Amino acid sequence: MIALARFLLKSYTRKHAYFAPLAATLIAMFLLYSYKPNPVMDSYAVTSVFLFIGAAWMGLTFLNHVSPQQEQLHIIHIGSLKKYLFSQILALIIPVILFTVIFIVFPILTHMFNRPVYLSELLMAICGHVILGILGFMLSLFFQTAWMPNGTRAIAMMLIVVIVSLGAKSIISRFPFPVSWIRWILPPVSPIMDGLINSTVFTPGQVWGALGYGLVYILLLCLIYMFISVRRDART
Amino acid sequence: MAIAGTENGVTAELVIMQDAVKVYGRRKVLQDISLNVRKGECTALVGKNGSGKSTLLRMLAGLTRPTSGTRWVSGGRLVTGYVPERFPPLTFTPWEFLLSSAEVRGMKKESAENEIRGFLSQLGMESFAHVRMSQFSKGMLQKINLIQAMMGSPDLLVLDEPLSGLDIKAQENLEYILVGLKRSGTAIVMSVHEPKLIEQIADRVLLMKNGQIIKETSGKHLEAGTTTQIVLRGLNSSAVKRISEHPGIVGLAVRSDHCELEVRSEAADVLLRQILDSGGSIVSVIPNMGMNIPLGEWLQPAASEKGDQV
Repeated sequence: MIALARFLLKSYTRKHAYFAPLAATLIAMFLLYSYKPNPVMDSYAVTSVFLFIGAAWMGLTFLNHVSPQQEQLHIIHIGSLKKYLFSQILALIIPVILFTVIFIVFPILTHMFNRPVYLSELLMAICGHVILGILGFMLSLFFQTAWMPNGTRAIAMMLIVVIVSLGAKSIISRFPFPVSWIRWILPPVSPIMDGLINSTVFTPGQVWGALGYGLVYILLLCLIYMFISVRRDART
Repeated sequence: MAIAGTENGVTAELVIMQDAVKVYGRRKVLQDISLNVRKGECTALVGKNGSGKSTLLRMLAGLTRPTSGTRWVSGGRLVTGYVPERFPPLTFTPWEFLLSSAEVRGMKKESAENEIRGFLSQLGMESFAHVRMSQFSKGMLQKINLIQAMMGSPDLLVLDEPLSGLDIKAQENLEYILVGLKRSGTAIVMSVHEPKLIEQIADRVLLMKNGQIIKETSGKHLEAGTTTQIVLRGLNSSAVKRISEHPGIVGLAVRSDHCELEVRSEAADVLLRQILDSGGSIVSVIPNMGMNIPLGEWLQPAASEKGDQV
């Protein structure tokens, strides 16, 4: 799976489809740090949301860059559709880690913060970035061409989910009590962002709880995705 | 399910399909397909566009699941090689792509490199090993397509139009390679339009129509009856008599304005030359394989197969 993930990443980078999401995410970060000093955890909360959006966008371009025939060959070479799908997920984790490193290290190296970063904050920020990054591309799995052949509709629907996830807190607060359970369906971007921003107000347990919720949500998404996907045919 | 063809407790069957049906939307693309693929056996699928050949090949390769019916695979998993009808557009060199494919298959780097070098050389592609495939012609891409499938001694080789785009020399080399693979135990299933390839390596021919296998011809019938029909005109009676004495002639019918010859396929070239040298002209040449199937009608050129996507 590592060999196929490496090949898929090479294939993706050679087609330059990564450039738009990469550039947009980096531009957003540079705009955020266009002035200083900046508050530590608020900035990290914002860049983790940038990573959520960037990873969703990059995930979609990554998943759609493989033609049906290429997909068929990869499935045959690796031996099963399940292994191919895991290889895709494995490949998508790599850019999330790279983005996380950039987003965490850049403001520290360029002295963008108003104070030193504590180790506990650094750990929370790293986990927040990784979890929101993975959450971003996990969402894109459900909007790829293999699931939604109409690309325009898929992009529109994914954007709606991304927007609703970002504004979930204020949207849910307007819902009457009987339908407030919808919050548990929406990707937990808002609680994680909230936890990171208020890391000095909330207890560490509350912040890690929000991050853990994100992790559980990712695992559930992955299970649902694999359960449905392994039953599909290779694209033609 | 009872598994037929076991010898000393070891099954010769690699894939068994039982009453397999494939439905896309409301359309039944494959209907009640029951088929055994055996080790070292070559099966040719013939049929018109839309007859379901490509879908059946994908199902055999494990890329498509039957809507109903079963697909049983020996040992649960096979090393499979698959040649899709069209090779994907890749921005890699053959060397990069084939080596990565071998790595994904779990082959050792050294043996993979040796195998790739051998195949590239056999198909006349060694000088293009490090050229990006985006600059390749259809025939060159098809050679890489074939190599990626044949690497690693697959148990099952599934070929969708393997000769498509290949020049005569490459076709001959491929036939030679496929015969070698078959001898080493690889089962081959291919959709094909070239009678020569069928003659050379097929053990049985399945004729497909509307998603069903409507005729199966195998073994002795295939070997014994490989014939070609030649329709000619412009020869006088003495020339016809002389040609009819050729040992390759199976049947002769003299009509008012033309002659119909049934000849053994291996003698067709010699007889065609003899007819032309005697001043005759050829009206048509139709390989009919002696299977009582009008193959001329079924074996269409690959170029006309673009719509065969079912």
